[in-house]
Amino acid sequence: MLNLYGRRWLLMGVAVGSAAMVGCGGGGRGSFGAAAEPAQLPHGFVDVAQQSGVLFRHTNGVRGSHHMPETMGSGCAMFDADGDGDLDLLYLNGREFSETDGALPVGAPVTTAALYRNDAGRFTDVTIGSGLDVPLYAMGCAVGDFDNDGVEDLYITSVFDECRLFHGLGGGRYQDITRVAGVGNRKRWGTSAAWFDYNGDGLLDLVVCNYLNYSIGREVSCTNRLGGKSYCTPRHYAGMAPTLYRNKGGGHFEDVTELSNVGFVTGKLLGVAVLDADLDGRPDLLLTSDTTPNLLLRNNGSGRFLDTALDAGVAIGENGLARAGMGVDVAELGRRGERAILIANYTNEPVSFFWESDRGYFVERTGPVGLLAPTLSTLGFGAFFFDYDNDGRQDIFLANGHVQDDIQLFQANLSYAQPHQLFRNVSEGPEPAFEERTSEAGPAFRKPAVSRGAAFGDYDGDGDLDLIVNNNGGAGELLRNDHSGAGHWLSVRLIGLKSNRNAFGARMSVKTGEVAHVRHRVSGSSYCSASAGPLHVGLGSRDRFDEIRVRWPSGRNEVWPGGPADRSVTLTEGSGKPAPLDSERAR
Amino acid sequence: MKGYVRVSRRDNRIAAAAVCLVGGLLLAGWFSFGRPRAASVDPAVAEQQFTLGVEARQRGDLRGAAEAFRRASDAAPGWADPHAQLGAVYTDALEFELALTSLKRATAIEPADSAIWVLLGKLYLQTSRTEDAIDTFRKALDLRPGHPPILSLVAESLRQSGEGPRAVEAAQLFEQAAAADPTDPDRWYRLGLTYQRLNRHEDAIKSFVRAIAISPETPEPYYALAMSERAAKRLDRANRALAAYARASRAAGKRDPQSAPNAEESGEGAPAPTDVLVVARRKFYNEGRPEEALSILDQAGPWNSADMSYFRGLVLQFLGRRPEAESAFRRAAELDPRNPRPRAWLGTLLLEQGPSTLQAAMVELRAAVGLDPDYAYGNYQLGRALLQQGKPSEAVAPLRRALTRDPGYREALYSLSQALRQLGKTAEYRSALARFKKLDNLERRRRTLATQVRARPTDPAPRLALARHFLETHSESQAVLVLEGLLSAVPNHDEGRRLLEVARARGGRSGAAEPRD
Repeated sequence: MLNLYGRRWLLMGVAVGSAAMVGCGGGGRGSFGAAAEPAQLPHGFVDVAQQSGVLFRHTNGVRGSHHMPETMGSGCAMFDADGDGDLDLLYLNGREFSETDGALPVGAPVTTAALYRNDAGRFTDVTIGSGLDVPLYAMGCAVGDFDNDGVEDLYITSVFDECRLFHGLGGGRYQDITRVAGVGNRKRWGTSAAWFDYNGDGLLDLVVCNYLNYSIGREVSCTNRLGGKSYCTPRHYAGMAPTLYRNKGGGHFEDVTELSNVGFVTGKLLGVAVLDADLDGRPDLLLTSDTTPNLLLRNNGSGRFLDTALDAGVAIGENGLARAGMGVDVAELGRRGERAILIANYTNEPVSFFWESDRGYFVERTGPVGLLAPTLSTLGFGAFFFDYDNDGRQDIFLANGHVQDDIQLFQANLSYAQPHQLFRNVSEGPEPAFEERTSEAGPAFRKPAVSRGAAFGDYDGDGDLDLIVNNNGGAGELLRNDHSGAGHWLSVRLIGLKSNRNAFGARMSVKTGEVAHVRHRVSGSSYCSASAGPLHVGLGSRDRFDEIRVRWPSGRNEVWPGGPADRSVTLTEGSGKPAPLDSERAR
Repeated sequence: MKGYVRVSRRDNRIAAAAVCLVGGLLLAGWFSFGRPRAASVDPAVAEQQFTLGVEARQRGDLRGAAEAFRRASDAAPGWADPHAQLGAVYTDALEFELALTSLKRATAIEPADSAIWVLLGKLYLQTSRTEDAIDTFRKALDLRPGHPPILSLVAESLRQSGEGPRAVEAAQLFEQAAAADPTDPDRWYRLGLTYQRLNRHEDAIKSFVRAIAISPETPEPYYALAMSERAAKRLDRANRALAAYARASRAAGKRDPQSAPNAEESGEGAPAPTDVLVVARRKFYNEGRPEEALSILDQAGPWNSADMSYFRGLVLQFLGRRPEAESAFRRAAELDPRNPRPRAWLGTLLLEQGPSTLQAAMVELRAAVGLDPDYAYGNYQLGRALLQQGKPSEAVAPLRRALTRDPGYREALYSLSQALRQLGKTAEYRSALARFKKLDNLERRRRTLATQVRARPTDPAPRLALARHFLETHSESQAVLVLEGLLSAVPNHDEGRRLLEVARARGGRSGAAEPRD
């Protein structure tokens, strides 16, 4: 069945900037009616990977020697790879590797990432011939249109190989331009990455998290208490600085890691979120670190960054201890624009939920918001805010799985494979409150897995957010959101003109009555993954919205009039009415 | 009981074993219990393997030690020492059934060897078979009448077994041992504990004072002394002893709550199998094996002492088994209502459960601080709870109290910095945060070095670096611990020896240090 949303978007790509706001059809729920769909929709999330044609299985090269990369898994992405307007799927993959130098052993089976084209909710593996069919020990990815040509490009990080930049050619085909672009991040263990325009020139720059100063040739051998081999902890290795590439235009980048001061901080970096922490209009970086303090790299506007994490209250937990930071996300949840930061951590550590109590200053509120006790016995990787029930409040998803494959031998209450977790935002007051809804989240949440990367997006165009999860050494998941009774919604695609085309760094506010639903258009977040679909807003019982305001990365503020809910719209920079600064959060 | 590892006497034993080798193999078919025996019998091999086993045990390689002792016993089945050592290794590895088999076999071969009976008795004590322990130690004492260490073991097992006449006999035996060898502080300390049980508080005080005079850096006797002074209604003296306990605890590198004194040892609460706690603590703190520590506690039977319950709670919460930990702390608080520690931990658990249990948490934390206003951990958690409730001005006082008691309390320092920031006290906030950063950097360096030591156990370099770090941070006892480990692996390491002398000269002592986390 034709995905109406997608095809219309494709057409709209031609007419960018011509319309103030374009409605993209209705649809309603379950619009595909795919043959594979069960007769009776169960509530919650249902793993429809296999029945939809997604047969991906992750390879991590495990052979019993317990090399550290084997347990870190890979990420995934939901993005429009072929430009047809719907969300395609990318599952990153590891590969077999030599235990001496990490190279692909001669004669070993070749495994690559898997790109699945979305055809009305059915997926076709289009990896071969796409340009992505190269064997990498891939970790993470960042989706963004670095050359503003209207086609999404793809940066993939790796541990044993160079990281790669794939230039989108259109139609789901890619060309590896790593060498020419100069973004190989060589001899580093790249993990999460994000596109962002730190110098405001309208071109997307790139930040890459690096995990450990590791090479398989000088790997530390670690044993468990029974004398068997086990995965080392990150404490066995030194951390590294992130890498920052400035986009010079013309498909060339400059490594400005040292020049920007980014090279003078270190961490064991696994996650990145882009936010304007100090509200100065420039994007800053929050980098999560495994067992050492998180970094908050504040962009001073002159091309330099300074770590202000401790001063901002986000370096460590409220108990004064650094945690094992993995996936991360930031959302503006407060009625007065207060932001929340979510960081997934190790077992016996809760997730970190930092709440902005003062302008740019965060305090940890994990316990008071109800996230502490339920997350102590899980080890989270993929983590993000998303409004799964379209009630207008952003909820939380956690993709879990331990890193020690024998953990159950030593802590009977823990396990290697762990179920995902879902927390519903039930806030009625000024501060969020969350309730765990894992048990009601459907069959996909009852199946333990060793999950790593996770992303979200409305792949089937039915108006609610679905999930994909990459499981370490396991089958990839595609979790269709079948929650019944979800609220109204609005899906908004932003197109920058003066700003970068992805509009990364834009803040969008959708007003319904007295309530303003705010979303930020960013790259990064979660763990090694990209949720690169349009901005999605749940409107609850409201079947109309009153207006949309966007503050573009260029600094332009615009407003568009309201309209009916339950549809997709595209907003192009310059097509709205100029508007004053959002009174709810002056910047 | 290192004195009972009798490598030096092995020559006589091996000769005897060689004599009875042929007949022994034929006659002593009961030696074999299912394990395939070596095809050949060779005293030289037995001696070589025995030496290897001793060396492996000394460097902590239990698996290697067991293998070597097994080979030694295969090569010389009539020689008791390999069986005895195998039993000791199994005991260390918590393989109690195997340990029992080996030690019983050793006593069958050498029934006149008091050292083997002692090993067997200690195994019984560790597995809470107190009556068997008493009988076994008495056999050892019959073989070596008046030997102070064995007298002490009989006395200790009697003390652990109950009140009344047994406690009286325990006191008599401790007195006898102390008279024979008055240089052992532990003996005076345990004699004092026995007097406490008999309500002979003045005698207890004298014993604790003797123990302190010999070993002034050991914290526990100060606490016990405080309890006896309190029982004798001399509160000033009791408070002074408590202050001395706090100083000694800090000096020994211990931090509340993990260094909580044994309530039973200090005369409070119900009897507890002290050795079980010692072993469990070792497993938990020194070896990082919480599940095994818990298993030891569970094997000890019903946890009916406050200290057992409290420690059980600590292990359970570490394992993330929070509801069970909560029960254990509640039980500990019931058994010893004057002890602030279980209440503070209970409060912490409730605090971390979320908003619905916040008020209950506050009740427990306020109660803990009420019981001991200077209790660092309790004050820290109270401050933390207040901070979580958005009451930074109220949080400052308990956080400052925690830091007065323990200036190196990083967590409290961080919370204090956050409270000050929220109160707008910028200068004080900056100062507190700077102090926190300094402490945190040191702690992270310690963790990194400790990890390297674990990863490269035979490499002296990380051990030396860690020892130097401890010396730089005035943790001399920790330095001693690390350097002793180094010299155990590399006995002739000159720099290690030099640093050990430095650490000892600065007051560091063996066995005084427990890891903080």
